Amino acid sequence: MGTNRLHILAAFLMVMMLLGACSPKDREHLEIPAEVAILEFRVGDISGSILKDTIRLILPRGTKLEQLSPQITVTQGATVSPASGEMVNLRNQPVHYRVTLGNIYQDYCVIAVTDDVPRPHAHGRRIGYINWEDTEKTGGQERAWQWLQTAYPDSCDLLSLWDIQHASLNMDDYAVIWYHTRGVAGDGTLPFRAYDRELVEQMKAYTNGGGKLLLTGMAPRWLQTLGLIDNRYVPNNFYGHESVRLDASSGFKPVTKPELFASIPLTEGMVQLMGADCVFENNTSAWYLASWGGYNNSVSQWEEETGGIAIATDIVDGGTATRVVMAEFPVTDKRAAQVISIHSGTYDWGNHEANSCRGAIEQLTRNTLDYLRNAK
Amino acid sequence: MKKNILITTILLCSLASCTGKNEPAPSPVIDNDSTDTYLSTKERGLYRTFFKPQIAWVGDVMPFYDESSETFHIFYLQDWRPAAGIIHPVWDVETKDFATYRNNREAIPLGKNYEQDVTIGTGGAIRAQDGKYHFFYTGEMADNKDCMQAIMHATSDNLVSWTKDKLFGYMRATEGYSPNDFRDACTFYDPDARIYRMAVSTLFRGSNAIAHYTSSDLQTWTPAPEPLIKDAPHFMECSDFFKMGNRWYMTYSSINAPRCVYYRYKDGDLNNPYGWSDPQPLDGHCYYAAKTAADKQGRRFLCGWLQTRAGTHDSSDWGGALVVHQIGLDGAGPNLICSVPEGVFNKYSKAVQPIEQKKEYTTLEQGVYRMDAAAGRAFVQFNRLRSPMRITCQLKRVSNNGIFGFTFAASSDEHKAHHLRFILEPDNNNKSDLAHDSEEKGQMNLFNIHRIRDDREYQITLCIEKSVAVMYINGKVAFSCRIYDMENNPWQIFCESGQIEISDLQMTTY
Repeated sequence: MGTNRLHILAAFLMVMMLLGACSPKDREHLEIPAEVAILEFRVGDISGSILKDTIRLILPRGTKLEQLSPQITVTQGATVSPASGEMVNLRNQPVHYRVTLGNIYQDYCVIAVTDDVPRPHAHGRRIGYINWEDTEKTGGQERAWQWLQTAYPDSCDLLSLWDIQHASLNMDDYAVIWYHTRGVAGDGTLPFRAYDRELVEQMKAYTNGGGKLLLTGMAPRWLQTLGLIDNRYVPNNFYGHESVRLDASSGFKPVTKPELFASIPLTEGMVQLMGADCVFENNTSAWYLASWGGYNNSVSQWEEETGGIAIATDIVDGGTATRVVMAEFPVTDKRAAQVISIHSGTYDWGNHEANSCRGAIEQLTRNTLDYLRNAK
Repeated sequence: MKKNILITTILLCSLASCTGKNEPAPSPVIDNDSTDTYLSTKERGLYRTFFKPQIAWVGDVMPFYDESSETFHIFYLQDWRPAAGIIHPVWDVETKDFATYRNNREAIPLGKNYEQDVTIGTGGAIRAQDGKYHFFYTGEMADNKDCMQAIMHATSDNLVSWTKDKLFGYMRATEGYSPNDFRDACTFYDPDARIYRMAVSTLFRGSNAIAHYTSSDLQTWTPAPEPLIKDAPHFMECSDFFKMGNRWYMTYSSINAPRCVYYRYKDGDLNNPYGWSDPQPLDGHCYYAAKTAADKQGRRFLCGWLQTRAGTHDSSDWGGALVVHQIGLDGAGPNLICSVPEGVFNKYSKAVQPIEQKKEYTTLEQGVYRMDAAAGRAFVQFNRLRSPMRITCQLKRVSNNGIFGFTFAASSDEHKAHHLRFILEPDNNNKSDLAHDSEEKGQMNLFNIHRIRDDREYQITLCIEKSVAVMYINGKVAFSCRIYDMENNPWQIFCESGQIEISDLQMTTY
């Protein structure tokens, strides 16, 4: 056999050896699976939307994004890291997951946000009253609580903003939460803690869940803070911390919702809330409808723009200007909470025993609380 | 010879006594007024440490560090009060240590009543690569309905004389941003991307945002594809951006009630508007409009105003006195801490003898006050506090839960007393607050101190000038308060719940 033939034979043998090295048995170990993927990514009842390598979760407001334990379903035989059920922090940051099967992997970026979708659910019958811990005790906050306990014995609780902030209360127990405050300044600024981010999150979760609110004194500031009404239409007439004494009783005029004024005597169509010669702070948080107020002095325009119901009005500035001083903000597709707010400075608990019209304040409050508790 | 040696020895001894090396420390100041009748002090004029000009007050602060002169130029909005028609030109005052100030002068005056900068708002200075100084500021013209606020430009060769850039005109909001809320430009150099960036406080399609522009020459500005930040929980005034470690930080002042200076941080670059951490406050609710500047050593200082309070003593809740904190990383970060600038701390160097007036449920042994509030409010009251004063002490929380702190304007009229109150209650959902309150005025300031709630010992530094009191705790937390009539009235350390110990109490003035 010549040299060329030997070379050909060697090459043939080498090729056969190579082909023999890739036996069918060996090919099995190199086979690439059709898919390595996350099939479902779920937190509670919410499944994330999976688009290519990004998973997006929209969770109810109040969900603690920093303590989530997602349940993850992956391709059969694959593993995922972080593991299914492992706690992760998705607040303000994405978390990266890797699904692995053999020596093949697929990476995902998971993003979570909270929404403002109303998710009303059943609440109990109790009334929560937010206490005055961060303000002075004057302004009648403590007096209002004393009355509430006699009017609703065994049905009301004193709630601290701190406890609400730290979610140490079962907010679902409360049909209504009543916040009455004189604020920390005459411009209606609320106590500092009432604006705390975590507290606001908890209150938004409560209202998104269908919890109702009664806001009085300077507390209507919360309409804006809790996002209950459009920022463009918040109350525009704040003043207070005064020392006012009236020559004659004063109050406001009911416009609608007669059930809220049941058993309250009217004087020339007016509900009298503050008697003559009683000194009060006149803490006011109204909507001024005329001129600079921007509503053309029209209650109907106010209702159309704010989405509220004007329950009562008063007239100021020598009869030239109308103000909305009691309002209801009903449940809508964007607001799960029913809210009633009283904005008149004559609704004042500060000097209650000296107020000859204190019975009207008590009856109005009782009617309003019952209205909210009994509303569906 | 012996006589000469003797004379020389005598002379040498005299010389030694004149060098002061062997001199005893100067005797502390002793003030023997032990009365406690409430006194109201009318404040006038200049603040020397927490700078306030002789006439007018400090508005929004725009600090700038000039490397060539190693001097901080504290640009600020001059708040004249009453300010009819004069809102508010940019003024300047210089300092090297935040303890002494000089060369207070106007930098950028208001424009004419037909010009965009008829009213001036916040901005900031930057030095270009060519050495020229640039100042971008807000021009506001209420009558310009299509563009009420815009960014304007001035230049200087020396930080003293500024020339408005008429060719620049004014830079208005671009697509998506609000033309009537477009202010407080912060211009900074990004060394990673090697470009200048401008951050502008605004709205982006209705959401709270910081607009983002870039430039290579500080003249032509191009809008970036995305804002620097959007969908934020607050409208962010007076923003400031800087790098610390590997992270970008921003500080801003929230115009939403209650006002506060916050910081946020992120990893990654500035082209993504998301990924910023949750806002964390840097001080309580009386400190506002603070921006930062860093010196050659990389020490960064947060410069803002502590508000006055409308009422008996002052006429406005906006603007006041300059208060400066040194800011830095808490360990390796990412959180920030606030501490007293070294120059401020060292300025108070003349010892004052604390003199007790009375005490209750408190013992004093070997320089340690022990207070136990089991039977009632424990306190020790000292003679009238004179301004200026620095109080330092070591405070130990003995009991798990405690409410304690300092009372100023402590007099026979308890209604008028002001309390700086630590509220540390691990058993109450870890309540951990610093509060400033009085029976007369209610709560005036509040700051959550969860950062130090697990500490049991607190190194307290209180720097006081007239009605400004800035408290620093463990070199991490700052709490700035406006306390009228603190000056010239007795003061206390108190404990109204739990037990505490106070040691190493020192008072110094200058």
